[in-house]
Parts: sequence; C-alpha cells; structure tokens
Amino acid sequence: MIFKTLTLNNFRVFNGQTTIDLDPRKEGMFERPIILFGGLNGAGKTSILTAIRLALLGKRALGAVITKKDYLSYLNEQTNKTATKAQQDAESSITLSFSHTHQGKHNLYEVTRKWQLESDEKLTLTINGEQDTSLNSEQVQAFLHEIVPPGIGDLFFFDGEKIAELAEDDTGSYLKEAVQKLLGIDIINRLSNDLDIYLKGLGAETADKDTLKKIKAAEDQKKQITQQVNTTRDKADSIGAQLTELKNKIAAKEHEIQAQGGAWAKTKDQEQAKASELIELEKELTAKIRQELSGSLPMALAPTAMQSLIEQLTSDQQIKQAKAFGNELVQALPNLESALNQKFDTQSSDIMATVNSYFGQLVNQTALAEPKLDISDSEFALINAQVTEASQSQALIKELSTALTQTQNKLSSLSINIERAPDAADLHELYTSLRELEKQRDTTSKEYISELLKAKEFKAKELELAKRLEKDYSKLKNNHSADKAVERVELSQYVLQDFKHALTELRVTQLEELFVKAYRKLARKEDLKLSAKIDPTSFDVNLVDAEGVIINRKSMSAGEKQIFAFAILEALGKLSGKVLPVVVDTPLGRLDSKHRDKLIKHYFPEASEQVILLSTDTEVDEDFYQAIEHKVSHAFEIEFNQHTNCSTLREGYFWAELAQEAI
Amino acid sequence: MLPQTMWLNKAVEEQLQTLKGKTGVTPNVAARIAFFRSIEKGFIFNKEKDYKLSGSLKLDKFTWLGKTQMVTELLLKQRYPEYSDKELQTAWAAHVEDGIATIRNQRDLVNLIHNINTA
Repeated sequence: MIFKTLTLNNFRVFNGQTTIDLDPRKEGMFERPIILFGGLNGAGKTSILTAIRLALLGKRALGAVITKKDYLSYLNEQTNKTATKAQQDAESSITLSFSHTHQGKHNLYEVTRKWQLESDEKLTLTINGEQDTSLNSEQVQAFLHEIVPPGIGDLFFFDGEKIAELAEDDTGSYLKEAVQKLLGIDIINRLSNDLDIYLKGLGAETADKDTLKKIKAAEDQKKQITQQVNTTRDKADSIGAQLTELKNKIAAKEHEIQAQGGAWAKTKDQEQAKASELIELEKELTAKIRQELSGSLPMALAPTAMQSLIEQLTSDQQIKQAKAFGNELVQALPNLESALNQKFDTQSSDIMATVNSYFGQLVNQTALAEPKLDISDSEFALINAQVTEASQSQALIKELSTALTQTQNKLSSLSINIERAPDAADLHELYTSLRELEKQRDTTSKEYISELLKAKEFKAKELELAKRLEKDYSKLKNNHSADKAVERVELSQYVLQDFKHALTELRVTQLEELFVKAYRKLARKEDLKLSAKIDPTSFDVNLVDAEGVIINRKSMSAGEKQIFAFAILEALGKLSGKVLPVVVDTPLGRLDSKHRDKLIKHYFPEASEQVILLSTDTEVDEDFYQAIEHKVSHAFEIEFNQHTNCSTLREGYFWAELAQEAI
Repeated sequence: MLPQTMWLNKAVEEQLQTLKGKTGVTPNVAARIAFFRSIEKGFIFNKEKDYKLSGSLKLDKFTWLGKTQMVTELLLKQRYPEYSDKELQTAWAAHVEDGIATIRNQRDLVNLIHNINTA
C-alpha cells in the first residue's frame, strides 16, 4: 500500500481544499521512502496524521469503543473554523488515494469521507477512477478495515510521543489485537469462532430444527394428554367413590329391608293362609275335644269309683238273678214234688227234702240280700258300654290334645312370622328407594366405565406419543451422531486451537528475535546485551538483561520506552509482512541525540516503502536532515497564517529550500 | 234319684263361667268333670254342713249331666244311700265345688285336658 495523495477540504487548520502529494518519488534505482513534513507547533502536522487515520479507520481512529454521536460531534469539531464562520453547514472532506494490491489485483483506490454539520458522514470508494456505488458507507469502511485492520493502524500511524504507552503496557492488551492480527492468529480465531457459530447456529441446531420442533410439539401434546389422562382418572376415581357409596347405600337399604322382615313379607300371604288353616284345625280340634268332654269322658276321670260302682252293680245283678232263680224254683217245686211222688213213692219225701235243703240253702243265701243299686240289665249293659266308651274317649282326647298343642305351637310360630312381616305398604317405600339407588348405581357404573374407557384411550394416545417421541429422540440422537461434520468441526477446533498455540509460540519467538534485532539496531551500546521475552498468552513484552533478569519497564525513561516501542513496531511490521506506510508524528520528541541518531539512520529509512514523518524543526534539524536526505522523496513545510487562522503547505523543508535557494 | 232341676253354689257357678271364658268348656260339662274328679278323690259330703245352693243357673238334670246322668246318680246313691233326692242334689253341688277347685284356674283347654288327664 502506497499513499498517493491526500486531499483535505475544510479540515482542521486547512481552509478550502489542500492536496498533498504523498507518492514517494524514485531517483534512478534508489527508492526514497521518506516524505517529510516540517511544521512548528500548531501548524497542522497532527492534522495530517489525523486525516490519514480518519480516512482509513473512520470511527475506530478514535478508539475501540466510540458511539456514533461522539464520532459525529468529533467530526464536526474537525471542520475548519474559518469555513464554518463563512458558512454554517460548510462541507468538510478527506480524500485519500492509495495503490493497493487486493485479491491479486493492483488497483488505485480513492477514499472520500465527507461530512456536514449535524449529519452523517458519507464514505465513498473509487476504484481505478470509477466510483463503486454498490457499496454503502459501512461496506466501504469494512473494506478499509480489511486492508488496514484497526489494531494495526495504531501501530503504523502513530504519534511518537504516545507510542511510549506501548512500552508501559504490561497487560498485553495494546499489543494483543495487533499481534494477533499481524501474525494471522486472528484468522485462526475467526475461523474458530465461525466454526462455533456454525456449530451453535447453523450446525446441529438448524439440522435438527424440524425434529426439535416436532419433539416440542409432541412433548406439548403429550403433556396435554397426560393432563387429560390424569383429569379423566381423577374423575373416574371420584365416580368410583360415588359408586362404592351407592353400593354401600344399597347394601344398607337391603339390610334395612331384611331387618324389617322383608323375607317374611314375601311369604306373608302364604303364612296367613296356613295360619287360617291352622286356626280352622284348632277350632275343629277344640270342638272335638269339647264334644268328647261333653260325652262319657268324665267317667274315665274316676276309674276307681267306677270300678267299685261296676262291682256293686255286678253283685246287685247276681243278687237279682239269685232271687229270680229262687222265685222260679219256688214256683217249680210243687210240680217237682208231685212228679217225684209219682215216680218215687217212698223215697219221694227224702228226695224232696234233699232238693229243698239244697235249694233252700241256695235261695236263702240270697233271700236276705237286697240289691243296693237297682238297675235293669239293659241299664247295666249301657253303663258297661259307657265305661268302655269313656276310656276310648280318654285316649282320643289325649290324641286330640296333642294335636291341638301342635297346632297351637305351629300357629304361634307362624303368627310370630306374620307379626314380623311388615306390611307391603311399609316396605314399598324402602323398595322404591332401593330401586332408585340401584338405578343410580347403574347410571354411575356406566359413567364410571365410560370414564375408564376414556382414560384408557387417552393413555393409549399418550403411549403412542411417547413412542413417537422416543423415535424422534433417537432420530435426533442419530442426527447428532450422524452429523460427522459436527465432530469434524469440533476436532478441527481442537486442531486449530493447537495450531494457534503453536503458531503463536512460533510467531512470538520470531517476534522476539526480530525485536532483539530491531532493538539492538536502535539501542545504545550498553543496551546491546538485552533481549526480549514475550508471553505467548498475554503478549506482555519483557526486557531481559544479560543475566536473564527481567527489567522493570516502568523504571525505564520516556525515551527508552519510545525506543522500545519503535523496536516492537519494527519487529511487528517485519513479521507481519504487511506493506503499510508508516506515519509518525513527533517521532523524536523525548529522545537523546544518540537515540535520535539511531532512529534517523536505522529506523525511518527501513521502516517501510513509504514513511511519512511529521516533524518540528528541532526534531529533524539540519544534521539529521542531511543524514536522511538521500532517503527523502520530498518534503513539505506547513505554515500557519495567524491572520487567516489557516495553514498552507509549501514544498520544501525549513532550510532545504533555503539551501536550494542558496545554491 | 236327683231332682229334675238342679243348681249350684253361686261362687262355683261364677268359677264355671270364668272357666268357660278361658277354655270354652261349658259350665255343665265342666261340672261333670269336676264331679267325677271329686268322686275319684274320695271326697265325702257331710249333709250336716250348711251348704247353700245360691246359684242362678238353674238347669234341668239332663242338661247338667248328659250321658253321665245314670252313672252320676248311681255313684251318688252308692256313696250316699240314705240321702233324699234333695240331699243328693246338694251333695252333687258340693262335689262339683270340690272338683272344680283344682281346675278352675286352668288357662286354656289344652292345659285343662293336661290337668285332668294327669291328675
């Protein structure tokens, strides 16, 4: 990259348009890289540095984190005061044209940054004289950042006095970005980051987005269905509880009915019929018994008395017979006497006497006896018959009595049953409520079953979903495992990480070597034994003395620090291989004569193909100018006009022109 | 022989009525049973004793005695041969009173039968 021209329009001390030719001129075969600007304090040297930085780095020229508002107000401040006095919204612009080899093509680029009061800057890019309208301001800036990374810009376009900060920095933050960018480590980082993005954003996640979406939907659905299952089950449970309660109620009701003689009630009519039968029988038996009682039976109750009566009657009967026989005999005896007299003459009286004596005795025996109870034969026979009848009646009445007892027992047990049996009317209510309960039970049971079925259905759905989810999960897993790219990316990242470390270490070692080389070139003799140690992780640069003891940089003087910084910059510039112009403002401010000498002789001429030095007349004085003259392409003197408050450029250096004039 | 119409002591008559209420056995039948039980027991009436036939149930002899009439008269005659008809009627009434004593408190017919059969 070589700057060709810088055109300033109403920028800082430069009113109107000022074009500066920055293209290093050759003299024969010898290149002259240095473009020297001379100016007294406040003439506008820093304006040129600022313009270059601003043109290339834009917002980042001010720092890493600057808000747009701050940037715009900064730009406004950069507008030339004389111009704003004449016109409130005067337009300011910086145009930097440079040649650069980009993507294998050597092109001439022209960057123009324009801004007006209170409005956005406009950044345009012209390639080989043709404006690239396809790019907007941001895209142009991005392109510029690609050519001059912001971290590096600080190392190539810098204020010599401020560069000392680099030496003081022990956090490594100053160098870190620049070193990484210059050494190409940032590319590895970026690749690693991109791979991360690929992994996180575009990688596994997008590949499985559909599956994930499906899974999410299925999970949601499953959750919903699980909820439904639970709800249904709860409902079924509560219905089940109701059912149990109903069943208990029914059992209680049945028990109640039983207790009230429900079973008896059913047979009540039958029992009653039986009872009336028994009552009939009882009546019958009772009637029979009474009938028997009213017959001959009482006689049987006095068997002894009856026996004696019968005996009496029998003996009376015998007396009566004997008496009747006597009477018959007495009537018959005269006829017997006459008959005997005829047959037995002599003996007739004897026979008659014997007969008389025999019968007389017989008749006399009963003649005195009188029957006590005079009854007829038929009456006697009747009494005998009655006695027999009485004993028969007694047996019968025993049987009847037994039968009656049995009947009465039956009847009493039957009547107990009948007593127990409630009226059908009383039971009716119970039965009605029982039926009602049974009906309720049936309904509830149906409901219960339907809820259970529903729950089952939901459960089945849930299982189906779970299966599907399982499938999706395994698919997801497969996707992951199948996605070898992910694996490779991860591996690549490890490799990159390793590579980065290795590269960093290598680069750091190279940097150390280059640094030492650069430092020795710039350092005084007594410093030659020093070497550098750069921490590969923190990029902290340490100086190490001959004994290997680290030198505390804070104890170094401002000039030493500046040398130290220049050495680092040179080393970095060489290591990076970047071909960027070097712009140094106030390069020698704090340095002693020996250091200045070294810088002038060894640093500036070799720092780059194009070195823009912005210097005061005390820094690059006549001696130094002479020392580098053969490397100076051309020089400018910046002159500040106190009346117009503006600066103008004039080719030549303080005394160079004078010398020329003198010649 | 016994007179054609007979009656009993008032208390006995009441007892017979009560018994009828409980057992359904009519006073005449119950009286017969009582008589025979008294005879069997060996009770003997003393006609010297002042015995009042104060009852109002005045029935004829056949109604009182039924089939047992002849035997009743013979038994009385056998036991009290020298009594007049009127005295026999009193004796009968006394025997009924004696016999009814053990059965007058029977609850019902079955108990009555049980009582007279086992006594």
